[in-house]
Amino acid sequence: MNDESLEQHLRKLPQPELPAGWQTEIIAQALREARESASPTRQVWPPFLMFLRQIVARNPLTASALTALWLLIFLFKASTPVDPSEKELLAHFDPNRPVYLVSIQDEIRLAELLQDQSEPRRLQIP
Amino acid sequence: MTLQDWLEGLYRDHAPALFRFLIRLTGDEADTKDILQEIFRRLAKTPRLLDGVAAPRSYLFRMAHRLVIDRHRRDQTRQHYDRLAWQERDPISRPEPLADDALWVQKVLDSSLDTLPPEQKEVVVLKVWENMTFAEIAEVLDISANTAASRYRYALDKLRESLRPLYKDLP
Repeated sequence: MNDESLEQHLRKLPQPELPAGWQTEIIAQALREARESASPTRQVWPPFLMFLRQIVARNPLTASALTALWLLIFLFKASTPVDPSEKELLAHFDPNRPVYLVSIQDEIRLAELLQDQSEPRRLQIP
Repeated sequence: MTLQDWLEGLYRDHAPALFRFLIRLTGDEADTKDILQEIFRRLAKTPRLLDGVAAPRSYLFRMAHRLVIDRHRRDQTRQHYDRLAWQERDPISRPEPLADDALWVQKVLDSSLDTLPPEQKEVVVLKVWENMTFAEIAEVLDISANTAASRYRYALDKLRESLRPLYKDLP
């Protein structure tokens, strides 16, 4: 049997018919889902947020790097000496400025000393 | 033209051919319906899919082909058992006597077609019943035209082989 006669036999095979009732059902379902997907409720994340989420949460390398960075920031903050009278990060803003760690009593004494230095000296009459 | 009219037009023009293609590939009416539903769901959701498409039928066949592959991958185990079941009920090994030789040839061909590998079966369906050229088939199936032609050749050889016990006696 050659190719042509084989093809002829194949063409004569009974073809399955598309069931008549499917059209209404399939199109109605497709339209319903299209309407639902067009609702104002956002179904998917916008691309930029997807990218951000990928960087921050999903990628193990970038997520570990960000965690390490936050840890370093915390350790840096925790280990930086603070002048309790001014409540600012001295070492960060002015590394040349001497930093003293003082107790409350020392602080009061220092404040009195500074106050004394700033006031004009009075002549003390013996 | 509303979306519904557009979908109904597409359904009228292409659904019968898609159905023939899908039912041959999946061998299951429920799967065929699901895939057809999925195609029209995507079209309803994104009507621009067919914007600028020169041959909508080829595009729809390509979509159907990819959905069949996805489904096949998902249900690979089930498909495997289905194929075993098909082999078990292969009528060639247990022929029923038929009066008309041509009818008998048709019956054997029909069953043999179902035992072809899916990649050969889809080429035969597109070539024989949809009258596509090998270039069009290649575009639908994402293969080269030469591959499509050779798959068709292998399929015909297998079908001819399945008829070998019969066609010596045919007029």
